Amino acid sequence: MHWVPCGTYNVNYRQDFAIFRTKPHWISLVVFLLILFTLPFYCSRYMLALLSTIGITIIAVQGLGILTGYGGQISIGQAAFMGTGAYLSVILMQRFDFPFLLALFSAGIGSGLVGVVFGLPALRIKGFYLAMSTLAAQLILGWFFLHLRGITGGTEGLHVEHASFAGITFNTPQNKYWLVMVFTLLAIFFAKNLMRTKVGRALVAIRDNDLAAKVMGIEVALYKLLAFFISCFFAGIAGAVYAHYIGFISPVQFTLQDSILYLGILIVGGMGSIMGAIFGTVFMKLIEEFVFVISPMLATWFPGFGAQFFAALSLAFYAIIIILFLVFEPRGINHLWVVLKNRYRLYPFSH
Amino acid sequence: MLMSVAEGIISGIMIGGVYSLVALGIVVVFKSTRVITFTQGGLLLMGAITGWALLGPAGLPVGLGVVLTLAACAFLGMCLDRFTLRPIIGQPILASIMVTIALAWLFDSVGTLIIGGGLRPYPPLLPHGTYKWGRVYISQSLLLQFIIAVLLFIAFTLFYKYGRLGLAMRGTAEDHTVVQSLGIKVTNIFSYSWVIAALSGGVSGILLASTLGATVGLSGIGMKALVVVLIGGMESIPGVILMGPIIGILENLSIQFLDPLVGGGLGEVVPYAVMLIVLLVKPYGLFGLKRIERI
Repeated sequence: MHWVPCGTYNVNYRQDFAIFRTKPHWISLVVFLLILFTLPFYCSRYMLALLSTIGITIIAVQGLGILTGYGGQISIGQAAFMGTGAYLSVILMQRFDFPFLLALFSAGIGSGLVGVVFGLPALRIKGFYLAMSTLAAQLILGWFFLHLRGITGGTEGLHVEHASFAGITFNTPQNKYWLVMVFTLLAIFFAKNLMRTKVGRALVAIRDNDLAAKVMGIEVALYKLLAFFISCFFAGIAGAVYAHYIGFISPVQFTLQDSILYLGILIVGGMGSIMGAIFGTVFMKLIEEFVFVISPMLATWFPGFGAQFFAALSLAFYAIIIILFLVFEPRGINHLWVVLKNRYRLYPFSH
Repeated sequence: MLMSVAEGIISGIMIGGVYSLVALGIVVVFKSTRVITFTQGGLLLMGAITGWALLGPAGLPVGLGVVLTLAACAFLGMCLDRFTLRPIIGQPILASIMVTIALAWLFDSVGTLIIGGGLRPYPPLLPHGTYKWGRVYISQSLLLQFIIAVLLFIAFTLFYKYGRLGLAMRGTAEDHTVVQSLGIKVTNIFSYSWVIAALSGGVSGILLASTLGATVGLSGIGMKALVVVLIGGMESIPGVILMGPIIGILENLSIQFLDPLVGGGLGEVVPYAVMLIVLLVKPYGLFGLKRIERI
């Protein structure tokens, strides 16, 4: 049960649909945005880099959340679709002189269309079979990144020039941070609203029972492909932003492990919720940083490993966290948040 | 040309025999628990590493080392079922997929922490010569691997068909409620299935590592076995027996003939491409059961 704050009376549809209902809501939103966008003035470069990667990951995970969390179609290929977007945007800008924003949206749409092609099996299969076919998509696309040397640069990757539009060149950490955050907020806003429309409700119906959804008159095939398109569109945008944030792309940045990690983030955060994707991303990135900090200390126990040690250790941490969440809190961090919120709103009473 | 095709096909069949053996574990687990495991590669890796540790540094005799390795694998399989998979019974399919993937990650990283990124050679278990048959050369160790895999398959078939536990497992595969009412504890059967999966992983780990050496990369075979299972059909043991060698051949031939054309790496991709096509045409695999769904 989702409680609204005390004293909220909806007298028209506008109020009923509002995401931000009360004055405290609006105040906290404004304060949050102010803090978010003024951070570059007093934060270290390290913090900005961390927050930017979190922002980019949130875009990709929101996309995956629409497909897997709301739509119930398991996809183990989000990183490859992100890579598709990254490569597309860079190639469009370098070879065809697209302006940045146009290249970004073309990359999103191109990546979405690739996603639809690989989503076609979803019309006939579901569950695990679909997971395997998206995994095949991941490996096949990864093979293309690596072996179409003439276009993608193969293992050497591609160098990305700084993005620029409206006379601003995004070349400093602060600039790039603002760029990333704008797109992250847009993605969250878009995802949140999309899931409250007809499309979102149709996807939830398909997730819960696709046969029943079909009987109710929902075009299951259409909506499944649409979910793939939207999800891969998000991934493409995330990839394009990532490419221009990091300034260099190569196949090792879009691996199967990343795809699985995005699914893990979704589970840790809580499936089928917008906040869940955000919580999950922040949590997992913090874990990564934690491992990054402790691994030099632990590395003294395991001499002779070097960089591999960090990779192995972070993998083990991710694995253990995912397993613990699935066993003890399958609804993810978001569920804890909802419980907390409801408790607060009902405070002196228990229900 | 022709000879190299023949050699490619023959060694493909031999390697495919081991793929089938790995895949057997996946099918057995799926049939009784309805969980599709990505962990098989990790179990294989654990088998390979335990075998290496017992036979190499610990210097145990071969027979004892292998038996101890298999015992360790069986125990590991049981623990997996009890502590990670049993708590998530009843959760959506994504949960079981993610748990098995996370376990595979865990085994990968544990493997890396034990043996590092390098290759740890095994003491020679299988002879390293080659047989010559006409103008075709066959590696002795590959042939022996294949023969061992076939023998194990026969043993498993006998057990599954005529053994009391095998019967219970087949019953569980049909219907959980019915076997429960006949007095069979389904959760025990789940444990046994995982033990069998771990054993099949362990045996094939030792077999593969005895020729290739123990490396962390061995766990990738688990993914290939999944492809074998999917093409063959999730419930079908004959499908697995047939598709293992076919995937082996496909992989070998694409490495031999297509790789020079496109610049390498196709051995990893072709099985998946074939799987995509098969899934589009026959969604439940070539020999799988079609599920009729009701609301």
